[in-house]
Amino acid sequence: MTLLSMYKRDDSRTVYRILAEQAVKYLDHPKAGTESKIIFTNLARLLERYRYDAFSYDAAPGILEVFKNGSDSQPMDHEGPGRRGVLEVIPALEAAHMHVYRTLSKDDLVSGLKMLLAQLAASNVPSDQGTKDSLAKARLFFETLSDGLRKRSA
Amino acid sequence: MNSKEFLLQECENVRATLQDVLRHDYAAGSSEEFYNEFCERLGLLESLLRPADPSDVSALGTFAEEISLLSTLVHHMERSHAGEFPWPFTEYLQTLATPLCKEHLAQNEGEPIIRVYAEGGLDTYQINLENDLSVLNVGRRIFTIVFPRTLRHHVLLHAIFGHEIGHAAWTIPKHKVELLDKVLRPLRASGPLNSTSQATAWLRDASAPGPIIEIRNQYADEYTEIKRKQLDSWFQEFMCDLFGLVTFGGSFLAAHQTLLLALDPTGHRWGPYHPPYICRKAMLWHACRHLKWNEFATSIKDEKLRADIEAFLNIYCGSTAPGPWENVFTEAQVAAAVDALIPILNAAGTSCTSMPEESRLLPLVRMLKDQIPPCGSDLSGSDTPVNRDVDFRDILLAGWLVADGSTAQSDGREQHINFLELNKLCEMGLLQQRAIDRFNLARQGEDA
Repeated sequence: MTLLSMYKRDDSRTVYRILAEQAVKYLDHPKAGTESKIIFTNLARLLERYRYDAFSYDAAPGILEVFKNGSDSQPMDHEGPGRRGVLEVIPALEAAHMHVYRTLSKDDLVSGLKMLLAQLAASNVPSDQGTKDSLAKARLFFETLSDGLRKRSA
Repeated sequence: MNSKEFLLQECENVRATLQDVLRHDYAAGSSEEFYNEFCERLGLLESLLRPADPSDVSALGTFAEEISLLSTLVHHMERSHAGEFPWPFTEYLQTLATPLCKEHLAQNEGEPIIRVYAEGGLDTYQINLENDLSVLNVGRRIFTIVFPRTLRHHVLLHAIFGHEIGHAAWTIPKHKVELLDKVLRPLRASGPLNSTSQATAWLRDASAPGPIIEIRNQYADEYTEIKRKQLDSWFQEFMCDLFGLVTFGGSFLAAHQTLLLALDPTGHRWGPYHPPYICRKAMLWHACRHLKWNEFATSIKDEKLRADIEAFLNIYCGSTAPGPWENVFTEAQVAAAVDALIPILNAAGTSCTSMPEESRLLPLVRMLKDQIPPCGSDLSGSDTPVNRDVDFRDILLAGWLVADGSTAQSDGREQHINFLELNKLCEMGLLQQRAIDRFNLARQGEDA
């Protein structure tokens, strides 16, 4: 028997709250390096899932899974009890989207933010006014997202 | 020691384990990439953990989970010794899977890192693209190919990985949406699996084949009630089988049948993730006809090769139409799905294959029958050998044709080559072809 048996918790709210807080930190004080690159990469992944509404775990079984006998034969619950946490990230993203970008489409929101995050990760951010405005909006977006997730965790 | 202090200590332990593990011999090529990615993940975790509030139990729980994942990862790597899996095959597999698994998050995005390890029994064949949802520290995703330890030389069976490529692609949101819309939509449009209620009625049908009725009788009613998630999983399996067919060609058919029937000789059992094998075979039968593989043998002039191909297709594709119960899709449904899948794969940069021309296949089959590793080596003895490009999937198909055929001996008798020996010959053929590919690529670079 394992050391401790627990229901699988879902860390989504905490994970994305931490990532959004870190993004705000790096937007305030840009710093090239591995850490910011990983933070922005994982936020870009979240945005991709938001764009395609693809919020599900995709752990595939081995090809040869068969209907086992005895107590293992119950059909499995694919999502598990942890799915609720992931689903709660979606309204927080929608609220941040609505609060900052209003009617901008999901596609345009994600494309724009991904480009900005890639520029930040590469320390290659143009200094024109348009980019400054975009950075300010992105900061507000991630701040609203982290606030929303903190409230949902409480 | 409080939780935060313990977790910081555990970060050190994990780093020390990584250093220890790297003393051993691992797959050529990706150890450095793995090491760098691993250190970056660990570095990020530590930098987030150090300033964390010790009373933030939610954050500490998350960090504990992530450190534990890193520990598991390094443990997997420890079992990833280069000598325990067929790495020439793995390199070819990477060429198919890597383009599909790119996430297109940034222009200078690193490709996924491929790790391989061997464990468990027959049912462990798997490509595991690590979960990227709700994790803090994944830079480049690590993509783990799992082989059964006992089958490390059985490259002919490894064609089953074509199916697993489908699962890997499914984890990329952009591909998932496209696959749902273009490949699964036609399959789900009509037929007995059109809805959970229809699927349940189909599984409980009084006219179902005898083995289905027998299995139904062994279980309570709840097992014949198809749930929504179960039906979704079944369709993902159907889709992945089509991936296997178009990415590995004929060798996939043979590996699929051999492995699935080895574990379920009835071919009729179903599960929470997988539909009965006979339904999958019925779908592949339609797909093969749509791809005109059933006419392939008629284009072959060499009599023996033609006979071998006919026998192969009879065994693995089927000589007669599927029975009415298991025939859950029409040919038009399957054709639409196949025709949609091929351009998706091509657009991603994953090459599809079909039945090879006789001029490509026959030399490989002859080499194998002479117990020579099948590949594009120029065996003429020339001082300036001209080695041919050969698609590794043609080598696998040649292997299966010889496995199920027989080879004429000098005394006129026919003899089967031992399956393991045949696999080793094909594995060696892949290794030599890989060398030829690299040489030709380097020469093209010099010429350019």
